[in-house]
Amino acid sequence: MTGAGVAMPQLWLPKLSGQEAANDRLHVAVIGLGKRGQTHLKKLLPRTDVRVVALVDVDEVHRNAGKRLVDEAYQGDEVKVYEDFRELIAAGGLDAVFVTVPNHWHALIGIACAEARIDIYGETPLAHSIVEGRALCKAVTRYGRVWQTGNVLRSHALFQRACGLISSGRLGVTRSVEVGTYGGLVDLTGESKSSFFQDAAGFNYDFWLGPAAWIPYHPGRVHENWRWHQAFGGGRLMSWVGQYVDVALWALGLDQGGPLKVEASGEFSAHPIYNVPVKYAIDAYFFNDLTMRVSSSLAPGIRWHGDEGWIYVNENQILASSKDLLRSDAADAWAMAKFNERGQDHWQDFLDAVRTRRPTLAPCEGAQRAASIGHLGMLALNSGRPISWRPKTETVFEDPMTANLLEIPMREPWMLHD
Amino acid sequence: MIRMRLLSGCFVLAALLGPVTAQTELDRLSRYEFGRSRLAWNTFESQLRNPLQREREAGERTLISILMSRTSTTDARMLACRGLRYVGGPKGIQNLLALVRDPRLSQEACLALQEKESPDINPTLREALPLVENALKSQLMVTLGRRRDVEAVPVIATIAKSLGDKTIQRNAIHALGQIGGREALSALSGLEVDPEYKRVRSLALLAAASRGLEGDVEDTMAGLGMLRRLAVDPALGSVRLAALYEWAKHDHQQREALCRQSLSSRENALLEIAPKLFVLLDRDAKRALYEDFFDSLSVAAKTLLVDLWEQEFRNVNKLRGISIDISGDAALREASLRALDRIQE
Repeated sequence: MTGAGVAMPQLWLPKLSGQEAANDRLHVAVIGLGKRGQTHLKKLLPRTDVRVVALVDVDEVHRNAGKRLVDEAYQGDEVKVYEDFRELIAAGGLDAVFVTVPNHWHALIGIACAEARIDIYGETPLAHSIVEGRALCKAVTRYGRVWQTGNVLRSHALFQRACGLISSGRLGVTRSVEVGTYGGLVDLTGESKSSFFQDAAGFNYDFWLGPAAWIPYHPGRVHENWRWHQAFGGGRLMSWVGQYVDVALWALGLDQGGPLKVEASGEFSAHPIYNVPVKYAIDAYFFNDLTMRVSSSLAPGIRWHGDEGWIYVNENQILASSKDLLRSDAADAWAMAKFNERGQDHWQDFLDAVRTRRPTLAPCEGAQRAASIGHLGMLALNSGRPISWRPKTETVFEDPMTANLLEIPMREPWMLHD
Repeated sequence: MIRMRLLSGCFVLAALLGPVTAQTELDRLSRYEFGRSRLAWNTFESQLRNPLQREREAGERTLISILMSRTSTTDARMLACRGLRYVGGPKGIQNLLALVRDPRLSQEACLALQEKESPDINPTLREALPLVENALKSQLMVTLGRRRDVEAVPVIATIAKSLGDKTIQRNAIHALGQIGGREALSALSGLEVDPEYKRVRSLALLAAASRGLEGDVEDTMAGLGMLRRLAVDPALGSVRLAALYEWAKHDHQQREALCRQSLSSRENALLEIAPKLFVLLDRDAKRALYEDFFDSLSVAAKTLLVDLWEQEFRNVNKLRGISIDISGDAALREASLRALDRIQE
């Protein structure tokens, strides 16, 4: 099954179950075949309702690793492999893509896929800046695409339960939220102490840099370690903001809006090749006197404080100030349904949405609003001053110098279509 | 007495060493090369982040010194441009403007200037445009585009018409789209382009029309007119969908008709855009669509409409709740009952 050109192939198929005919399969591609991309492949390859038809990566080693996985699963059936995602899009015949690339590429690849009428599963944070994220949301909407943000916590039973409890008003009025994220930085590839001036053979570094400001190749700044340099990522703050902050806002129904003011304090890495914040505390103030603190010194997870006590959740447990707050109650089933009616399989939810054209559990707008808290926090940390924010227009109030920093300029020839 | 002498000696030493320390710091910063430790720059950048205006101004002065110094490396000057993006005031802007024709630093200077507010920037970029070539020309045009400089339309339109470098032509078309408004629309409409750039031009027309909707009445009218034209041209592919969406978003009177049109379509592309158009409708229009229009639709569109209706009320349970809520709207009750019937069928 292909996305374009056939009479009514993509829409309105009944939900699939069991063995399916090969031509009923969704044709998908994975762009970015690092650790996360290979996780996607391992999830997709055993499925009978999906066919991985193409792979993209700028690194030959990654391309080969991905191709090996597909060849083993499909017993040698040909999978197309590309270095340039534009060639994949031009080839056509795709229903959906899974995009797992560094943050500075999220918006450009997402927009290009949306323009080509391909549905998209993209990782968090939504984009590298608020302006890029808005352009991506706009493209997803105006080209009628299905978008799933890769925040699997929205499909996690414990987080869904916590959201249901908050949404049902179990805490009374929620007054504040504390979001604990991990701080510091970790050399994930063991290359941080390598020297510059190394051969990047088989790795198209210039294409990998793409729209980012030019900096020289260093093996410790690519692959998983890209997140420790502000040209490509935002450290652990931006890695986690799309996860915990997103769920914290989702529970409160605030994933369509944003704060009015953001303050931040913290420390930046003094490492010779990295420059992201390693310690931080970001305070966001919302319209209804709700405050949110995102901090590297809090226990990882989300804690909502309300008039009746608090509820805390992370990937392993859900806790509350009193057991009563966690009791099961039939009256809460309605509130709970909003969060858990799609089940706990994030990939299945996306693929179902591609077939039925309904919204996914983690749409673009929610991801944009969650990422905005992180971007504004980074901006407050970088500019050294609090930010007055207008969430409706996504503009900075009365501070032109900071307002200028909302957009990260792109290196020629890459351009943002908006 | 001895203590007093020691103290005054310390002051003299500090007064003598102060400038030396500052000089050493400046030297360290200005001799930076990519591939060496960034420690000096990391420490200095914390000064740029200081909330005190005085500290930031001192940071700006240091950055300007690095830019002006003959002994600074290109890499250090590149970082100085990036720093001025954060703290560059009028003096910093003037120094960046002096670099827009520098082959090695033009790109960094343009990126730093892209969002800055100063009456000097646009004229300087426009004047520099005919004097540079290749990547520099493209960078200047893209910067003028992001700055939405309407006065740059004639000169960029001339470049877009020239049959020289195709990359430059493509960037000129893109920049016209970014500037937007009636002037840019007019320039783009009259442009003859190679078949391979037709999509670039249609995207630029879409961007120019959308941006025009944020402008004055004439820009809005021109923008809406262009969106209407783009929305009915099947040769434009997905650009047509985007134009249809933008048209519906900004034209309240046509919105419902456009939604009905997309729901009635047998084309996948138009059906795919229908949910996005449906969301734009007000509640009465949604209800009318459901009640009057449902039976005439294809199975695909019917499924979509039921699904959208269901989404409106979150889930079947809630739909059931509304259908038995005697305090609610009678018509809404009836509609939800019908929606339930159809879902069960």
